[in-house]
Amino acid sequence: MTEAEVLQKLNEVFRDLFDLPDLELAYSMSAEDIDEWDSVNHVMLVVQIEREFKIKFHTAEVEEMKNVGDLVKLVLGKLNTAASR
Amino acid sequence: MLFNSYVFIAFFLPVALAGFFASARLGRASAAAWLVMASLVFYAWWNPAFLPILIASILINYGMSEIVAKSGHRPALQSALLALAVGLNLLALFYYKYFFEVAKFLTQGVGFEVHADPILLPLGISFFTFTQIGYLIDVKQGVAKERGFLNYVLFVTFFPHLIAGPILHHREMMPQFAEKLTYRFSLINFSVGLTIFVMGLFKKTVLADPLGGDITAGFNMPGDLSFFGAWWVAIRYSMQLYFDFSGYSDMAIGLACMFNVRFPLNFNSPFKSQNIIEYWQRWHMTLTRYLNQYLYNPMALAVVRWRSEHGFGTKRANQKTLGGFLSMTALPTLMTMALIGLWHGAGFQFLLFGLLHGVYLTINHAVRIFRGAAPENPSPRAARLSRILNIAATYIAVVVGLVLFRSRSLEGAITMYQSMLGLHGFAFSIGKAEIIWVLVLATIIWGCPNVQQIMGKFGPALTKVEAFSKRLPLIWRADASWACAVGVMLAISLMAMGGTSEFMYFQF
Repeated sequence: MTEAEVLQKLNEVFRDLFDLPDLELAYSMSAEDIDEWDSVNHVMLVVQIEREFKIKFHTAEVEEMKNVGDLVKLVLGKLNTAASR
Repeated sequence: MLFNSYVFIAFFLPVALAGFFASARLGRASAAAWLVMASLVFYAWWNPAFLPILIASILINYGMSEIVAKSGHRPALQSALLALAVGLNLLALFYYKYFFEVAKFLTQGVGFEVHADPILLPLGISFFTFTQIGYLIDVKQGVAKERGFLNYVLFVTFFPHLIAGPILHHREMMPQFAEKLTYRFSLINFSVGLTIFVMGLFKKTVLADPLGGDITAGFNMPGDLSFFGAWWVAIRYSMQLYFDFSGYSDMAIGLACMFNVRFPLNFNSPFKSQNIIEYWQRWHMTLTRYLNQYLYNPMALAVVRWRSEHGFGTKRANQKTLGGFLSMTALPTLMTMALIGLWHGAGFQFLLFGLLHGVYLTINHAVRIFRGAAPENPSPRAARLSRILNIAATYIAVVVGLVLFRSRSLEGAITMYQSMLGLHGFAFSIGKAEIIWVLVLATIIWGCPNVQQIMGKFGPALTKVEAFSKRLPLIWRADASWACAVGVMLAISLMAMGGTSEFMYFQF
């Protein structure tokens, strides 16, 4: 999967979860830019991403995922390690 | 040693700084070692008997973390080792912080005799235990990359945060101690750090300490207070705690800055919050972050993953069902907040303090989830009014909670609440001078930019804050007028320092 594809798929997860059909996700966005993205919804978001991409995050990584750029990088990293195994 | 003592300001700090940058010429290791030694002296100054506890904690934790790191090929063993290490930390914390109170409760409350003598709480034990537990967990999960011994010891002992935080994360600290530039004196970092330190000192000695006297008297005899007297004491206590902790946090950030180290922000004008969720994102921010990371997230993740695997929905729509709300939001929030309460001390008043805030937060989340979107584009006047009302309501909720936080016992807190409801009369006897002083403090709290906003251009902390206002250009510059202003603040603070008083967060 390429970076753009990951972003695309994440965008769908965000739209679906937060009920924001017009949302256009950008690398520079963070939890502060999206009102619905608070600590409670963050956890639901994490699990939703785990399901969509069939990956699993460490608890320690969850706090690092509060902006889109880091999120894409982390997901890509997980997909690559899964593929190289 | 206290930040607000003559020995610290006139002797310890200059020597620690000069020694650090002088020994840096011999290499980074010697500078780091110097700073560790200085920090241990700083710690031992209070009570040398605590020093072995700190050293033992560091050695055992570092040893365990290395064993945990090297047992990655046997996951079951690694998990067991981590559990053992975390268990040892919690056991030590329990012994020093809770054992006596629990024994007293069992003996007096339940009639089950347990012999215990009062145990002195080693300074900062909650803070250095938490930091190290976080490190252990991260080592186990493979996210702690930098694992050098000297950097680790420096990260744990570095004196600006050792006793009352901010609660640091190794990921933001260890790279800074590994960085070359940290070991070279920087005039601008020194000036910025000194300015922030002085502003913090001023908050502590001039704004917070003079409030003390009759607040203590009020909480000792809450039954003697009228409606107005009780609210007056509670409000002034909230201001005392605010300036005390805010001052401490500024001083810690300023001190770190002098050593070219950036700390995360711990305090961001919390009384300006418009709801309780925001309040906890702005008050003791590093504790909130820590508990989110190591307590709330794991609990909530387990619940949501379980629901996901068992065919229960984990979407926003499911959050609006009672079961979804209780399991995914209310339960993890209440449990985390109960533990935040107990972290502050053994005693039912602390447990209730945490639970009360847990209830506040749950209500806050419920409103967000069930109410739906706020009306769009209200008139500027309506928006302004609702902002003021939200801030006022949040502040009052906080003041009510702080009564539990400050009371000596649960009975004391209940009596205080009775007084605040007017059950002990409505006599009004507040002097003019007192009222004027509180209004001055209120103006500083709600009407002024905070230290981070004044110093923001120089990025003195790892966390960025929003600018205060474009109209009010109260921004620090390295020039003569600011130097004079800070000099005057320092002079006043030093004169006000007379009887040194502890920071309130030292007891935790």
